[in-house]
Amino acid sequence: SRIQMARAFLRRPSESVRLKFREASYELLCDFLANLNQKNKDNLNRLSPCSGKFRDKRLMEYIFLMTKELRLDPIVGYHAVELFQRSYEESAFEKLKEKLPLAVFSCLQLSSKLHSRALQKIDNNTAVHFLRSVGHSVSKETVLESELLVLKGLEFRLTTPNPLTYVEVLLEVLGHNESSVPVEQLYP
Amino acid sequence: MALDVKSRSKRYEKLDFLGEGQFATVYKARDKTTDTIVAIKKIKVGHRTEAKDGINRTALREIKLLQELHHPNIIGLLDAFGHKSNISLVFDFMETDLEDLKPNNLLLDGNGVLKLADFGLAKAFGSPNRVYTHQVVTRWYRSPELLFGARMYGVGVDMWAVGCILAELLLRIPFLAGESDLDQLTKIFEALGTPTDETWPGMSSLPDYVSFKIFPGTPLEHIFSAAGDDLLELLRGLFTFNPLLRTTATQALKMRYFSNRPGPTPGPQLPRPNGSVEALREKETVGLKRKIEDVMMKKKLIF
Repeated sequence: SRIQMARAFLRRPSESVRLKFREASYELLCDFLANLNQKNKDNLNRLSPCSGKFRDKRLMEYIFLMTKELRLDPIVGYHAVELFQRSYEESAFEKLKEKLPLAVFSCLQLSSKLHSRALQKIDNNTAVHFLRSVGHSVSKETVLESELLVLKGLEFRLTTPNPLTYVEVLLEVLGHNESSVPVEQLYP
Repeated sequence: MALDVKSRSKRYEKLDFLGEGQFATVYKARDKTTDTIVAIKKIKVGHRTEAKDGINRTALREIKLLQELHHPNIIGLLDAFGHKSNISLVFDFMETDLEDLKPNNLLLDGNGVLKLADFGLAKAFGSPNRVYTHQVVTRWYRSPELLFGARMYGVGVDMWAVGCILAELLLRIPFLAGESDLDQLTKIFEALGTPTDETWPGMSSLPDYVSFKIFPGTPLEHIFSAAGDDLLELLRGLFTFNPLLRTTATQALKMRYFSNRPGPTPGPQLPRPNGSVEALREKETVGLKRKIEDVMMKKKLIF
């Protein structure tokens, strides 16, 4: 597929963050749980009626495939799914179809800036090459405009709970409570 | 959506130019809807780094964090909007100069309420298993465990920074102004004494640990000659090398310093910044700097 052609442009090594388990203290875990609970409540109160409209199987697959091809940490992909969901919840899917690669890319770009460290950067040169490889010829200016469009669509609200964070915290809790459980192996 | 953005940028009336940084311009403005004074930080999207990496990462993190944090002592992000290719952030207006958020990013509002600002580098709550980056906190306020490369750390790093800020308030110049990470550690150990594996178990197993010359340290009462016993007790707690034994915020607030007389000046009665005070402070700083150097010199001679 086209997306696999992108591999040629991405020769950087995988920069996934290595996870460490069983290092958080009891107090720290309590803080994380209280924080997640509050965030979840806030999120449920704010959900739009269109929420979930874009939870299309193929679309999710597309987002995670692009995450993988760009060698981004899975957490970046999960967050991008939520950003995409909220930014485009007002748009008609039909209208979006043509711009889909760029829209997904912009969500991943924003998400990567919120999550990863300095090393894990997608600069606009990589962006242009990558998008061309998936059959979408755009200028650097268009890439920036699209990123801004997503941000505006989100009304600048970048905080959104994502399922992987919950899984990670709950695994840590499990590891804390039951030291015999091989949490490292349970990690997706 | 587009209409909304347009009306939002019209909501604010520019009053004054406050300053310009590398990535942003700050204006004083009036919010016509609420008739309040605000500060608007306009991120330069046309900047050459944007051409390379898109929207400024630090600005994005600041937006994200400030949206998550709501506290009377944290600067409030009131609004964010985009117009054409610009991004503008609307903040509470602060009496103290917003242009220069460094070194401490501590601001006072018109009622003398302290607000923390500049969260571009702050670590958000995610999950505890993700390794934290140790390149956080401006070097002068960085704790020894961060300088030795600790990847997993806790609130102790903030309490160390609080100690450095408290020390700076007393001295009126940065207490430990290292020029490199190694120099920073040297300055810390010269002032507070080199820790050992007894006083700080686990120190030598930190990733970037290097052994240092054994400095005996300078008694805190010699460095902070104006500080009373209660304040010295607080400083000692904050400058504890072992992060697990370092005074926490809750413990600190229970210490004598915070209940002993005199009580703090009520916020609205605090003196306001103006030219003459600044000039006076400048003079004092030079004198104090000499005084600190004297204390340190004497100690070095004894050693």
